[in-house]
Amino acid sequence: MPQEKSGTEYDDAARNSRQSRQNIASVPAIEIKDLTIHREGQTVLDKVSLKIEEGQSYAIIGPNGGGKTTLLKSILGLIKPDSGFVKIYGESPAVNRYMLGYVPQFHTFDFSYPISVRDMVLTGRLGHIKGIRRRYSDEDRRCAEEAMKTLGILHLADRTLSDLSGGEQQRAIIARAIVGNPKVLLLDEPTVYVDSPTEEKFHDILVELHKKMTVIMVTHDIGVISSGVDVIACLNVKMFTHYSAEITSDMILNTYKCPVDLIAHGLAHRVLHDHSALESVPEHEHEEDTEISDRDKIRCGCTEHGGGQ
Amino acid sequence: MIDVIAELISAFGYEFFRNALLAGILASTACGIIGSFVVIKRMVSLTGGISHAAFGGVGLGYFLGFSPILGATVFCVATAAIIAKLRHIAHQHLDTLVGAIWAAGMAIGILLVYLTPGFAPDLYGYLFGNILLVPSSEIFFMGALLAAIIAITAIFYNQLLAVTFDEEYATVMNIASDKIIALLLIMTAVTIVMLIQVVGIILTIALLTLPAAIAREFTGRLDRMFYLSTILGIAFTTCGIFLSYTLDVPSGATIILIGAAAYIIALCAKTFCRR
Ligand SMILES: Nc1ncnc2c1ncn2[C@@H]1O[C@H](COP(=O)(O)OP(=O)(O)OP(=O)(O)O)[C@@H](O)[C@H]1O
Ligand SMILES: [Mg+2]
Repeated sequence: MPQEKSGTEYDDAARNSRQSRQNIASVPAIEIKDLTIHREGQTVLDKVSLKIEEGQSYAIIGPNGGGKTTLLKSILGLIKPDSGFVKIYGESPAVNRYMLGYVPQFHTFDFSYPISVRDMVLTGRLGHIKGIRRRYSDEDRRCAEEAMKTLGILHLADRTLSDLSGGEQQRAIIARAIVGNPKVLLLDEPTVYVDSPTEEKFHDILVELHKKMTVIMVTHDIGVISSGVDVIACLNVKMFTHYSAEITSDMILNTYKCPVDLIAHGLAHRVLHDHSALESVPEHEHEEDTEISDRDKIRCGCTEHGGGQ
Repeated sequence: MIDVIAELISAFGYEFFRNALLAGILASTACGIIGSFVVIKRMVSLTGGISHAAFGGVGLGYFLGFSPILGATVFCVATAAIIAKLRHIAHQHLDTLVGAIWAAGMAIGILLVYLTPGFAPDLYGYLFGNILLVPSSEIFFMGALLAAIIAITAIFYNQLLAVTFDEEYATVMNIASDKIIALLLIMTAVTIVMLIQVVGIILTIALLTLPAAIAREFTGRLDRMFYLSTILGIAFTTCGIFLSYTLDVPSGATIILIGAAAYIIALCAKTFCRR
């Protein structure tokens, strides 16, 4: 496998693109450095580093127990790192997490709670509200209606959450995540439990969201990955980052031990051929995330060409 | 029949009877609010732990010669605070811990009552409640506690809702979830103290959960659950007081049996309606 053979052409392209992006946003949306987390004496995340620029979309795949949810929760500041750090727009999660929207892994909380869809979606506004009572303003209510409209559940607004179907509940949860107009949206397997017709619409919704915000998504769903993500990261305690268009089944199978269903879904079609401009670039790059500059290379190349799709 | 009604009407002439009705209304209102959270958050065993720990405080009161209800208040609030602090430990551990507090509280109480020289007056009342013996001073105390619970719930309603629905998300929304949960647990402890007067330590869980559990079957909104379970609680206590007065049977047990019967009827009605 050609690894550290990045051509100079590519290096230049990467540098140019990085410079131009620096003019727009000098701070990355999310920066994680050497994040290590232990739980119950086990290493769940081992020196994970990544940098996600504003506007990028980032897919995280990996086996069950690989630490995907743990990674998202540490970005949210819900799990404290044992070493390393997480920064959201240059600040700690506690300071800037109001900029995030979060869709938890399905059924990790109690859907039978007596609450209307509207009230549930409104709780996503609380991060913006000051004052001891945290009362909702008309603006908050308008945003909630907007979010429910986006997800196509406005007609269900005054129904009780527990009376909704699983897919409708999932839409409500996504509405809650976007109601605060987040800059970064974290989604933990958003399409699990969703039937295929709804899944189609989900992909459209996700494509729309990609346009508006930075998206980090944990998924096993190839449909989602092909709906235009810039970077694919494979997480199995350690993190491996890929240039999205170049991921091959061999890589997944041999190197990263990612779930077999990925391969079954035929990700192998998605190779380099429709990116002829990339000929000088190695067929695929992967590495243990140890050196930042190399990771930057991967990511920059990625957005550049991904953007031209 | 007419005799009974006449007797009940004349009962209103007695202060103790009016006090009993008032105490029932105050405690039921606190139950309507706090019980709803207890049922939704499945904190039933946890509240059992807090209420039984109260007996340790009752025993301490007897032993050291201060008001047993003051001892109960201190023990309840302290237990709630401990649980709030330790609740992040693994769930099965918390369950065991609650069980230990439950039993240890009772054990301390039994031991201290035994060691107290002489006779412990009203001991039976603390265990099984006697609403017909609530003094006027106690009514004002209960009224103040209830006012505090209502005010705090109104002020923190949006945060309480968010935290009890999805604590992690509430934390992401920069709500101090730990503090909100601690507040809820302390309010639960205070409610339990009020309930001990009405139905006694052993039966508090029932009055705290039965009205709310029924209300939950019939509404899908937290605030409506408050109102509905308050009304139900008032109905149970009032009926229970009348019944126990006319039949001359223990009030606490009567109230709870009415509540349990209503719960079973409600469940049957619900299943029947679904068909
Ligand atoms: N609350 C917890 N306490 C202790 N260990 C935990 C806890 N939550 C997760 N773990 C452990 O951390 C590891 C990573 O879990 P995580 O939930 O991040 O995996 P995941 O990649 O999201 O898996 P899945 O695909 O099943 O959602 C697992 O080995 C799990 O056992
Ligand atoms: Mg997970």
